[in-house]
Order: sequence, then structure tokens, then C-alpha cells
Amino acid sequence: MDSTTFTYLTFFIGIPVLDASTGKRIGTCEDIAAGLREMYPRASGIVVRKGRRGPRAYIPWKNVRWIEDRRAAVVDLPAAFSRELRLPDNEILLKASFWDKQIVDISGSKVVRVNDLHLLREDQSLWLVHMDVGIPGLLRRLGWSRWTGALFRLFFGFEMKDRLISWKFVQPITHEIGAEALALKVHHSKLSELHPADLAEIFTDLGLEERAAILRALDHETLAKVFQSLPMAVRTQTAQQLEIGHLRTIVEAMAADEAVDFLAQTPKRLKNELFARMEPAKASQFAELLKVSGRVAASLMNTEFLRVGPETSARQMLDKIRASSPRREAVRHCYVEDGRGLVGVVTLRQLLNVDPAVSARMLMRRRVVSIPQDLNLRDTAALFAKYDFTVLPVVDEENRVRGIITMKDAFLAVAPQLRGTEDAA
Amino acid sequence: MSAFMEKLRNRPFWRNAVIFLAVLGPGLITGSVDNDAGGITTYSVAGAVYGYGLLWTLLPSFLALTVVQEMNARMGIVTGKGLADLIRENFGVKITFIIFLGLLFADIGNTATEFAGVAGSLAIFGVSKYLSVPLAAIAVWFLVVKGNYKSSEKLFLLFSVCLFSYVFSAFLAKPDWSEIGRSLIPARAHVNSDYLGMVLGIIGTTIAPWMQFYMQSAVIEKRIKISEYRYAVWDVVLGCVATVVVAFFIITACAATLHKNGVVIHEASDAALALRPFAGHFASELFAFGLFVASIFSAAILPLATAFYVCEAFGFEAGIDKKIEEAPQFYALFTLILAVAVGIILIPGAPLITITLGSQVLNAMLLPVVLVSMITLVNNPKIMGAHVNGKFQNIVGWSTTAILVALTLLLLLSFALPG
Repeated sequence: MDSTTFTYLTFFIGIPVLDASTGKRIGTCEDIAAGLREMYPRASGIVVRKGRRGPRAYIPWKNVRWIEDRRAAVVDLPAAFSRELRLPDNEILLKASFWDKQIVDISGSKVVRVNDLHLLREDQSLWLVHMDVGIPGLLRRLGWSRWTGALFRLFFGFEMKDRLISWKFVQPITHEIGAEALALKVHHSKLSELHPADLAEIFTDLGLEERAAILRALDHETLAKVFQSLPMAVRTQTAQQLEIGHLRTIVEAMAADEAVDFLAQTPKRLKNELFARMEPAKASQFAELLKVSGRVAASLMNTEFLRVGPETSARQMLDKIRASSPRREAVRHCYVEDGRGLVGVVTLRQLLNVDPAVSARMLMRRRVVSIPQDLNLRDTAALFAKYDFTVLPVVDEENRVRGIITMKDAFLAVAPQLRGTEDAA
Repeated sequence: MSAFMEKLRNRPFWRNAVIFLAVLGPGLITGSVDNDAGGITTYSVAGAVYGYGLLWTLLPSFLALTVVQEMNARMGIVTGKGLADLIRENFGVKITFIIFLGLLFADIGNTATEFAGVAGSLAIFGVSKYLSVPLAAIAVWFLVVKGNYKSSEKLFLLFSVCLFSYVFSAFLAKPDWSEIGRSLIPARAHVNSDYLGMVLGIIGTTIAPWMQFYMQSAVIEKRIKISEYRYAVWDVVLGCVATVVVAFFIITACAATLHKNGVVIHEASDAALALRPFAGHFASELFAFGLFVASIFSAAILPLATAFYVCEAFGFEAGIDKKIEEAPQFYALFTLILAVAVGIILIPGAPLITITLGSQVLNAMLLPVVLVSMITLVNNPKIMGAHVNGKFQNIVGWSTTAILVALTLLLLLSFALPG
């Protein structure tokens, strides 16, 4: 055979396996193992089982003399059969890992269930190229593809199309061979291509075991973003699943208002434990915010912002912006304070177009709209609507900036139904 | 507010009560859906034919129901996955297909029975079925398309409370309490097909296959955490108590009146009508009201739950928070089940009793399959970790399955060998 053809995993499962030397049947093909070193997983061996529940053996692909889908496989000298199957490192079992399991479809950013695997045959090599998630895949698994296909052509005049997802856009989240094993074997880099809000939706759709796999796979900056997009009930549920040290790093990486919202819903014991492990500065900041009533502007604010003196130069301000952490919600504004409190604001745009030596006092806009920290939520949102700003500073009685509020947070506070169905009711 | 929370923390009883109220729902609702039109029919007929003689079956039913639903709650909490998901992932496409094809047919029949209950109960108040059934179907559609889990749960909990109208109608029937006490211990069991059929009917209607799927999904929707597990168990127990208490009073009401006077009935609405001369208008109307509430309640949940778990098993998008374009299979299935069920009721001269019986037989045949799958799953440490079944749960689970299979076989045998 010297050609390229497509086939499906279904057509290999259950075919008889014969011994090349004796020509006798030694069992049936139960699964195909594949290596993960290349761009697409490549068949690296087959698993043969004696009888329905008998012992199994792993036969490396180089010992498979001849294999044809829907027919049979002929193999050299089978390895020892045993109850325990040992796979070489960096290989996975295709059927056990993917059939009937959920995967994340990166291109469609949703969770789908795998019905079958679409394989590419090139001479003696076999690659896994697509996941089949369509109805024809289901019918194939039932062994009905032939007559249902004929029926469909007869009645509707067209072929049922496969729904295939390229391996490139697939993120396995299964744990059939033990969660650690698969997590190590397949890297989770693909998940980070998704927007955290989409990831949060996917996360909510998954079982707890799969959620754990995702929690292990993502870095804590991404997790913090995912975490703050989750419905509150799922947040507290997930918190229980996490090891306390891990949870702490996530909470610390969250925006202050979201972190405080979460802490307010956390049982006392867990909250105290988190506080005990946090950086002292963070802990006292969160503790301060926790005391604020949920009905005033201060409860929405983030405490990370840029504060400068009137004599700070444009260069210094730009350096500050560059040094600020990437998750800071607003780096577009520097708030200028002197002894009397907030006196002006300098925008990033202004800084881009001026002589680096010029001072904040010269640059700043003096008419600053600010929000008193005890303003109620409705009036806070109204301020945003009125002035069309995306970020506004919050000031205390002495006119000192305490934090900033984004338009999103202000609107969500008065229209919680925008956050998603679950937290609304 | 915070002073209140502080007080709450210092009083463990009230703190527990608050957490319990937050977790409450899935068990109580499942328990109440249990007493649907089919259930009320079975209990009424049992009371009318055998008097207090079958009350004892409620005790083993209660035990089996509690154990089975606790397993569902535990699986939901531990895995975060629906029963349909778990069956598909662990038993493959073929077994999943057989189970869900059976469930789909059984549930279409069950839904038809619910609409028959709506028609029958409103007929007592003088409403034609050609008006009541389409209106009920529209109401159900509206509830599903416009509602979300939380708001519908509140409505369902209200429904559950309404089911206690049966308690009042039983008291109005003035039952003989000492005789009831004596009959809780089975004195003599008859071995004939009618009696066995009735026993199987009572157990079968108390533990319906589709409820296991509903229960587990409801626990997941509610985002109950492992730390709240014991409250979820209380919820299950409360639901099972509600089921059995309502069943008890339906049987009692019918036994005290219809059985005493030798009235023969075939449907639950017959029972409501027949109560009138013996227990008065009020008791009759309470009975009919209970039947209406139970029927519409289950008519809302059944098609939705069925569409949901079929989609879950085959990997289609599902859920009432999805748009029609996002989840076409889900809405198509939901509409199909509703339309076929309503159609069956509205076609003049449709073989309603055959359909009811047929779906009950299907239920009885599917139940052991679902139970075996469940017990296998819940004992798998790969899925459940440290939360696998204990010895007691396995003994009750397996014996329930064994008894159901034996009863089914006995019943089939007694049909085959008359006398």
C-alpha cells in the first residue's frame, strides 16, 4: 500500500490480531497507543486483549507486520500478556483517552464530547488528525453508518457531514490514565489561547476532575482572571478544591474588588487561613476593603493605581507605567496629589507627546471628576454615564485618592444580570 | 447585618439551618415529582382495591428510595457530572444508546400520563380537556423558555407544599387509625398477578429511572460542595419522607372510603370523583387540586429533564440558558416530547390505558439497568475516590435491584401461567 487515506479508530477496535509466525489468532485489538512527540499523535503500538476480560499485551508498532482497518492485524512475537498494562513514556491510549470523553475545542471555545477519532494512514504510519464530534461518528460507533447513510441519501439527497476538529485545536482534559500522567504528557499551552471569560464558561461546564486538570495547567495570573469571571457559587466550590497555598496566589493576583467579593463569601476558617498566608500588605488592604459596605462606591474600587506628586516628570511617570504590573486595570491615568489631596490627572496619551522633562503640574488637567468613597452604587454608575469616562478615581473625606473604579464594575454593580445567568437570580 | 451574622456563627443550630436551607431543593423536588399523576393513580387504585393492605410496601420503598437518591447526590457532588455523562464515559455508546432510547419512549408515555392527570383533575372543576391540556402545555413551554434554574426551583418548592392537600383529604375521609397501625406489618401476602403487579407498581412509581438523572443534575446545578454533603443528605431524606407521607395519605384516603364501599376506579381522577359522596365536596376538590398540581409539576420537569439527559449523553448542547440556534437538538427533543404527549391525550379514542401501562412496564424494565449502572459507577474508586459506597448502601442497593428483577420476572411468569 502506498497512498494516503483517511480512516476512523472505530474500524480498528475489535479487529482480530494474528501471530505472524503461526498465523493463529491471539486476541483482538483493544486500543491503539500513540506517541506525542510530533505535531500530531502517531500510532506507536497496539494493545491486544485475550478474550473479553482476559490479559492484555502492548505490541510496538514496529512489530505490527500488517494492519488493515475493518480486517485484521498481523504481529510479530507478542510481548508477554499480563493484567497490568505498562505503556512506554510519552504515549497515550487513543480509545481510553478520547472516546466518549469531553475535550475543549479551542477554535469554538467550548466543551464537546468525542464520538470517534479521525486517523490519517500514510503507508505504514497512522496519525491522529481530527476529533470526530458529529452524529455520523455516533452512528459509526453503533455500527449503523452504512444503512443510516443510505437512508439519509434516499430521503434528503445529501451525505451527512462529519464534524471534525483538528488536533491542533483540541485540548484533552481527560484523566483516564491518571490525571497526573496525561497532564504531563500533553501540554496545556493551548488553553491559554482562550480568553479568560471563555475559559471560565468552559470551566463551569466541566466535571470536578476535569476542572482540577485545568487548575493544574494554568499559571496563577491566568487563573486569577478565570476565577473572577466564574459565577460566585462555582468560585466557592472551586476554592474548596484548591490547595490553600495555590488559592492564596490566585487571590493575590485577582483585582482587589473581585478578591474582596470572593473573600466576603468565604467561610470564616478558610478566610482566616488565607489572610495568615498572604503578603502582609495585601492582607491589610483586603481586610480594610472587607469592612466597606457593599452598597457604596468604595466596595467596587481597585486599590492599584498610579499616584504622583506635582513635581514628577513625564519621564518618571512613563517609567512608573512601564514598571506597573500588566494586570493593573488602568495604567492610562496618573493621579496627581499634593498636600491638599487630588489636584489633577495626567493621561498616558499626554505623556506620549511631551518633552520627558516637563512636570506633572504643567501637564495635568485640573478639573478631575472623582467619586466620594461613600457614594451609593446607582449614583456611581450615573457618574460614568454622565461623563463617559472608562475609569474614575475614588476619594476619601480628605480628597485623597483611595482607589479607582472601572466602568464595567460600576455597571455590573447596578445591573448584575449582565454578569451571567447564574449570579443574577 | 454583621451583628446578625455574628449571632448566627455563635449558634450552631441556626447556622446549620441556614446552610441547610441553601442546599435544600434537589431532594425535596425530586421526592415531590415522584408523586406524579402516575404515582397518584397507582396509590389510589392500591387503596381502593386492597384497602390498607398495601401500606406496608411504603416502608421498604422509603429505604430503597433514600439509599438510591443519596447515591445520586453523592455522585453529583463528588464528580460534578450528570449520571448520563458518567454512563456515556464509562459504558460506551451502545449501552448508552439502549438506555436512552428506552428512557425517551418511557418518558413520552409518562408525560402523556401527566397531561391525562391535568385533563382529569380539571374536568372535576368542569374544564374541558381540549382547553386545559393545550393551555397547560403552553404554560410548561413558557416556564422552560423564560425561566432559569433558580426561579423555577422556587416555584417547584411551592408545588411540593401544595401536595400536602392530600393529608387534609385523608383526614376528611375519617380513616380507622388502629387498623392502619396493624396493617403496617404485612399479615398475609397474596401471590397472584394482580397483587404482585400492584406491589411492583408502587415500588416502580416510587423509584422511577428518570428521577435518578434529574436528581443528580439538580445537585450539580445547585453547585453543592463536598463540605455541604451532609446537608444534601438531609435534603434527600426530607424529600423521601415527603414522598412516602403523601403516598400514605392517598392510599389512606382511598382505603377509608372507596375500599370500604367497594368502589372500583381506574384513574386518579375517578378517585377524586368517587370521594365526593363519602368524604364531601371539599375532600374531593382537595384531591383533584393535589392531582392537578402534581401533574403539571411533573409535566414541566419530565420533558425538560429527558431532553437534557439525552443531549448530555450524546454530547449535544443543552440547557434552558442556551438559545435555540445554540442547542437545536435540545429544543427539538423537548418540543417533540411535549407535542407527542399532548397529541396522545387530545386524539379522541387514543389507547391511553395501554400507553400508561406500556410506559410503566418500560420504566420497570429500565430501572434495574439504571440501578446496576449507578451502583457500578458509585463503587468505582477511579470515579468516586474515597466516596465509594459503604457496605450498607451496597446491600440495600443490590437487594433493591434484585427484588425488582425478581418481582418483574414473577409478574411476567404469573401472566404466562394463570392460576
